[in-house]
Amino acid sequence: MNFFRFRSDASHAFCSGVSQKLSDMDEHEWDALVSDDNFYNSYRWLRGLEHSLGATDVLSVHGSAGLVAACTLWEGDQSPGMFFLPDCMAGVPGPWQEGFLWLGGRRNTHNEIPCIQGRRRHQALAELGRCALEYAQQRGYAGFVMPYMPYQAAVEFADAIGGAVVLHSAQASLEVPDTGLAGMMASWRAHDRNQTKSEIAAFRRMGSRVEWGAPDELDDSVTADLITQNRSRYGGTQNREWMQGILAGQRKSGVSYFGAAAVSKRDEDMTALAIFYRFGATLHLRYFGANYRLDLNDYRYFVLCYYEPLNYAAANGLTKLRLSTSALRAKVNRGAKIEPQALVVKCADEQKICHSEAKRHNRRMLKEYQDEFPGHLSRDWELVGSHQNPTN
Amino acid sequence: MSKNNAGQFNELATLYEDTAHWPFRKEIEIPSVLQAIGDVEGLSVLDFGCGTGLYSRWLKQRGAGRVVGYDPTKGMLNYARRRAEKESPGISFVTRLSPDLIGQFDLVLAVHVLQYASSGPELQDMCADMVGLLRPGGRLLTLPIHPSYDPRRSYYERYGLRLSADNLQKPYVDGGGVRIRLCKNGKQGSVFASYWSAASLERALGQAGLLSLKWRELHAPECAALDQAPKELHAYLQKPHSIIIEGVRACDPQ
Repeated sequence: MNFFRFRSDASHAFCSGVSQKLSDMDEHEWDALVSDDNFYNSYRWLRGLEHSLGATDVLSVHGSAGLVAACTLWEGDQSPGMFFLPDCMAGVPGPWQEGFLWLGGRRNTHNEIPCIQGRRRHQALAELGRCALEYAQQRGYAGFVMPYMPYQAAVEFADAIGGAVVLHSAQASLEVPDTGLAGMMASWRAHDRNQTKSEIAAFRRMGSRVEWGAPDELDDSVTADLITQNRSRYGGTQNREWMQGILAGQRKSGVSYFGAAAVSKRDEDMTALAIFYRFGATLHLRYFGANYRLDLNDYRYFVLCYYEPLNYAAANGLTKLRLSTSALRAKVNRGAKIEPQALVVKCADEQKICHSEAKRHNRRMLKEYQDEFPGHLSRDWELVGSHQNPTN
Repeated sequence: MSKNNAGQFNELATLYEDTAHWPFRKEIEIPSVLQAIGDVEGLSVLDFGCGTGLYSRWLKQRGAGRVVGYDPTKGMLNYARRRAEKESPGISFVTRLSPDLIGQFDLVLAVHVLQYASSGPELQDMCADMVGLLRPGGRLLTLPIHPSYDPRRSYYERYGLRLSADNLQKPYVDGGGVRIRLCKNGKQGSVFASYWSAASLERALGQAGLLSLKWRELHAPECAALDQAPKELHAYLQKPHSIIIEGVRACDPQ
């Protein structure tokens, strides 16, 4: 283990440092800091990325009894997209073309800092932020960011480190009724209920059916092919081999143990699949893939990603279905709530970010979501509104 | 357990889990408890103050039916949830005791819990909670601080454990403070607990409706006699810092 220690003048209660790979850390100690919603910062998910894409540095803060806060580091993407800082910060003036250190797992669309609970949580977050800034400065970054954080987690982290909170995305999720899809449909208007019934009927009419299984039981080359077809359709640039490498890393790290795959088939042909991960009481949707060479209009995306998993989650005692950050309108129409996601930014030169500009941007984004998704926003949006007063 | 008492465990999950490998627990406490519990096949079990879920996992792996781990400390439960979902799926972990749990369990296990009652009424409430979770005829096993523990702070140090009474002149006073410090392999953490006499414990458990109380000394089940146990465990076996109390919930009057 090559563990570089940071000097901490602020607090002798903690010992902070950087290690060069996640395997230097104890899995159970790491995961003890990971909440149910923070699957993409769990040990095995991150180890899977390490196996597939190579190791990255890891920041850690220890107290006398063990690890109190930690996160992996990376550099974001250097081309436009979801992990390109100028795109994430569009509308907020700042030095976003410069290099920033990114906190969290690579290409994570949900990030929280793995951190202890209790009275020293704030201090532990502050120490991690101090350590991250020192790391960033030593390597010539203009600062650091942690993107795709639930709003409350972002506010807490920013408060601890003196950073700014910038809304930049939103994520859809569904509370799972005990009775699954039937319970969800019972809460809908007749129009939405009928639409869902007709989509499921069309799926069946086309001779399609759904089978659930473990992702490990599938052929990775087929899985990767379907996922890559879907990603290419929406602008993704990674090829099938890249996706196969990701799946191989997941097998190696053991994260696929948490996986559940919903596969749609016609006769013995696999027409599409959705891969989920169970974690705590939450079911996380991560991948959808489809064979677009088959010209089917059978609503397999909605069946696999919304309807079937509600029943699966209910049958397995899961209470939340976490969907992705894209196609929010389609998700809202099928009962999802939209949660705000924010990026926390800390610049080495404090003057390079204008907090009032960030608030103005957040107010604007809040308004856009209120206009577009009235009645479908989670309660966190009320907090967003209350925090954007220029005098706060 | 008060919020303050529960909160002191938030950072101690990994250290506490590590203690399962320390000789006084690995060779003595854990096998003694498992022996006292006996066959759990199909039993519904609540692990009261489950901490990292160590016993919950073992009970599930040994065939227990429904297993619920209860602990008010979020930091401990996070560890418990994360580890159990990899090693012993099917355990439910809760931070509060909801009414639907009352009277549901064949066995309630409460290891190192009663010492975190900081007053007589709190001790009584805690016992009532534990016993109330049992179905009539169900068993409670609990491990408080041994009423005759050795109050000298150095006595248990070789085992990674330091118990120091706030009042060394009068260590055996009900409600008296005891600082428990865990220290091994470069990690350390401490918590504050309270001493309860045998009479107080029996009274509180009795008033909660527990019958047929039995006290069982911890021992090394692998060794028939003290002199057959590894020499380094002798001092602990002569004065264990904890003890098992077992009892049965009274059947409801017909």
